[in-house]
Amino acid sequence: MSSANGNGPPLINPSLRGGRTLLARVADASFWMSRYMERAEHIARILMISNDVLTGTGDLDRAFALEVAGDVLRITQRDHMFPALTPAGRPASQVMAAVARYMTLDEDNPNSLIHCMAKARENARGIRESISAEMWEQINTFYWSIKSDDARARFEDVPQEFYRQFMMGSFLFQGLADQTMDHGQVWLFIQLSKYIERVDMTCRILMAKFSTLSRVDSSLEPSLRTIQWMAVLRTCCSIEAYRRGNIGELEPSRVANFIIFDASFPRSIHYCVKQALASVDQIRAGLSADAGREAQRRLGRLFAEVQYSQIAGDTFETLLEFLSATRAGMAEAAAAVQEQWFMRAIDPNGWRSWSTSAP
Amino acid sequence: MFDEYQINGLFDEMFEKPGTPRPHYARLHQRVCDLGMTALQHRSKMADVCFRNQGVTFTVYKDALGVEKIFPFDLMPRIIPAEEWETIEKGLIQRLTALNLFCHDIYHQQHILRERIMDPQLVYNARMFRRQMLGINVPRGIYVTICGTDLIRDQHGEYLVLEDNCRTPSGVSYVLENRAIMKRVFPSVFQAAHVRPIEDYPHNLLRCLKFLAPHDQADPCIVVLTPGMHNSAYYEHSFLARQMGLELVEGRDLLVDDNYVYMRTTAGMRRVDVIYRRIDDDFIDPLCFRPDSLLGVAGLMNAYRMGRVALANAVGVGVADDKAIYPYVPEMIRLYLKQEPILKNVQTYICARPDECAYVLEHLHELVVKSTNEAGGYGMLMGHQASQAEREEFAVKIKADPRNFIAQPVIELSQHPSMIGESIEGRRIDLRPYILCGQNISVMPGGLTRVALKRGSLVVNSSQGGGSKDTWVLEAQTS
Repeated sequence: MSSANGNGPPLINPSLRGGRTLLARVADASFWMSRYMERAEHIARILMISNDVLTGTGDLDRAFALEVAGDVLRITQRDHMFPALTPAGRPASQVMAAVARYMTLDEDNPNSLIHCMAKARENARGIRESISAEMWEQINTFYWSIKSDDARARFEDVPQEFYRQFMMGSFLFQGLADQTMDHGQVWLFIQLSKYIERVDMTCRILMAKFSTLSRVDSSLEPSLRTIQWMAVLRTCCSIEAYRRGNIGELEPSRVANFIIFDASFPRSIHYCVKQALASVDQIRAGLSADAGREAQRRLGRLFAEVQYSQIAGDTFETLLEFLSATRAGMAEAAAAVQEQWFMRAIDPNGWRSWSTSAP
Repeated sequence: MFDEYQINGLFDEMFEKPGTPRPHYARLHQRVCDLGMTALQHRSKMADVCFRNQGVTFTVYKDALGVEKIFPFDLMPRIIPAEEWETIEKGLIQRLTALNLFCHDIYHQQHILRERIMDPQLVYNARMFRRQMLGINVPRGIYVTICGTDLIRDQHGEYLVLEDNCRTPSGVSYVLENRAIMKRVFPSVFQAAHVRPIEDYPHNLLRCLKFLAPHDQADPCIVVLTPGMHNSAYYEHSFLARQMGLELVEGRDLLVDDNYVYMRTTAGMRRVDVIYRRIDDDFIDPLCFRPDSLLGVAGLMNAYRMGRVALANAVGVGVADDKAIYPYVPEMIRLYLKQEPILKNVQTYICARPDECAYVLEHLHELVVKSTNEAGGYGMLMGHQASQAEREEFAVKIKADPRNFIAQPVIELSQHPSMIGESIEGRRIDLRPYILCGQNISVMPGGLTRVALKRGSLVVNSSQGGGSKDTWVLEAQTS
C-alpha cells in the first residue's frame, strides 16, 4: 500500500470485520452537536444571571452595567462588538438589553444562542440514525420552537424564561442521551465534548469575572460585592453546592478553589477534566487501533495539573495564569481528538491520485 | 359530512355513486361520519405536529441550500381490496422480472435489439445507458433490487403503469411513517379494518442487500450512501439506515484502495461489501462519470467492475427508466417471459419516431408531453391546461430534440376523498408500490399513495404541491 501525499500508509484495519465501528464523520458530528448544546446552556445562563444582577442594581450605576455587559461579550469572545452595542447615550437599563438581544437572536453572531442551536441541530440532523429518535426529536422540536414566528416576542416579553428553556433543553438533551442511547462510542464522544466545552466555558467565565472584580472589588459596597461573588457561582451553576460546603463564607479564593478543585461536583474543572479523560480512555479501550494516544496523554497531564495544583499566594495573577494554562491544555487535547479520530487530515485528493493507478 | 361531496364524473375510489360508498369503504365511511369534522381536524393537526417534530421532511430546491418541508399528509386512507391487490402484485412481479432481464440483456447479448424489437438508436441514445457496464456481470445478476412503479387508475378504474423507477425510487419512508402516524391517531378504525402490515419492509430490504454481498461473507458490511443532508430525500436515507441498523455514509466517508472500498472509522479503514446507494450514476465516481462530482467515491466503478463491492441498484439501470423505452416493457415481458403483461401501460407516442412526432405536434392540446429523463414532475407539459404560448414553446423544444420527449393522452386519474381545509373533497391520486428483488421478488402490500392537493390538478409529485396518504391493502377474507 502506498500513499501519494507521503503521510505514511493509510490505516487499514483488517480486524474490522463484523462488530460495530463508528464513522469518523459521525464521531465528528456527535462531538460538535453536544459541544454546541453545552455552549448554548452556558451562554443562556450567563445572560440570565447578568440580566438578573442588573435588573436589581443596574439603574443605579451605568459604569457597573457596562462592566457586566462587557463581561458577557468577553466571555463569549465578542468584545469587538462592545462599542457598537453600548453607544454613549444609551441608558444603563438598555445596555444589557442590547447585548442580550445580540447574544440571543442574532443569527450572524456565531456565539448567539440561536446560532448554537442551529449548529447543534445541523450536526444532529447529519447523524440522526446514530442517536436515539428521542434525542433527535427533542433537539428538532426545540429548534423549531425558537425559530417560530413568536420566538422574538416571547424573548422580549420574558427573557429569563427564554434562557431557562435553553438550559432545560440542554439538560433534557443530555438526560435523553444518558437514558435512551447505547453508551457506546457515539455517547462517549458526546460526553467528551460536553466536558471539554464545560471546562473551556468555566475558565472563560472565571477569567473574565475575576479580572473585572479584582479591579472593582474594593470600591464595591458590601452588599453589591456579595451579590457579585454570588453571581460568579450562579453563572457556574455552582452556588447551592458551594453553600453546603462553605457555610456563611463568600471569599473569592474559596469561590475559585471550589469551582476549580472540588472533586465531586460535576461543574468543577477537576471533575470535568477527569470525566473527559475517562471518556477518552473508554473510547480507546473500544478500539484496537492506536489512535487517540495523544489526546489521552494531554488530558492525563492536564488532569495531573488540576489534581495536584493549588493556587498559591491567593493572588488574582496566579489564578488567571492557572486558568489560562488549563484552557490552553484543554484546547490542545480537543485538537488532538479531532486530528486523530475525525480523520480530517486525510486529503481525499491524495487518495484519488493513487487509487487511479491501481490495476 | 359528505353532503357536498362531488364525484365530478371521475372514478371515485370511495363512492360508487353519490352517497353510496363501495363495500370495502363502508366501515371507514361510517366511522368518519360518526367522528365529525372537528374531531377529524383535531387528528389531522396531531399528525402534522408529529411529522414536524420528528423532522419527517423533504427538501425543495429553491435556493442554494433548499428549504425543508413537511410532506403534507392526508388523513383519509386509501383502501385496496385483497383480490384487486392480488392482480397488481402479480403484475408488478412479472414486470420487475422482465426489467431485470432487460437490463442484463442490454448490457450483454442484446437479443432485444438483434430481434429488432427495439431500435438500437433508442437504447444507445438513452442518457442513462452506461456503456461502461457492457459485459460486466453484476452480483447475482440482479440489476434492480428496489423498484418503485407508479400506477394510476383511469376513469374506468383500471390500473395502468405510468412509469417504472428503477434508479433510486424514494418515498418508502413516508409510507412507513404514514402508517405509524395513522395507527397513532386512528387506532380504532385501523384495528377494525384488517390491514396487511408493511412494517417488515426494512428487514426485507436488508435481506435483499445482504444477498448481493460478494462471496459468502457471513457478516458483510452494508452501508447506505447518501449525497448528504441537503438532498431532497435525506430524511429517507437516514430513516432507512436507522431502520436497518446500517451506517449512513457520504462519499467523503468512503475511499477505494487496491480496488477495495473502505469507510473511514475512528478505528481506521473498514472494508465495505455492499452499498445501497442513493446517488445517481452520474455522481457516483468522478473518475468514471462526472469529474466535477464531490458526492461520489473516486475509483468505485473499478472496484464494482471487479466484483469487490455490490451496488444496489446496479449502475446503468436508468436505461429502463427512460420514458421512450418504457413503451417496450410489454414487449420485454413477451420476449423474456413468454407471457402476456398483466398490467397495461399508458398509450405512449415516442417523438423519436417521425410519424408519431408529427401526430404529437398536431395534438399538443390534448396530450401530456414528458421529457424522457426528468422526474419529479419537472419538464412536462399538460397540453389541455397550458396556454397557446406554452404549447408553442414546447413544440420548439420537441422539434429541437425529439428523442428527449414522449407524449401520452391525458388520463383522468381516479379521485379520492381528501381533507381540504374544513371540508372533504375529491382529489386525484396515484400509487407507488415498492418491489424488492432478492432471492425472490416481493411487493410491499400497498405503497405510497400520492394525492394532488390542488383542485383539478393531475400532478401528484411532492415538489409540485402533492401530499400523501396511508394505503391499506386488506387481508383476504378467510371464511
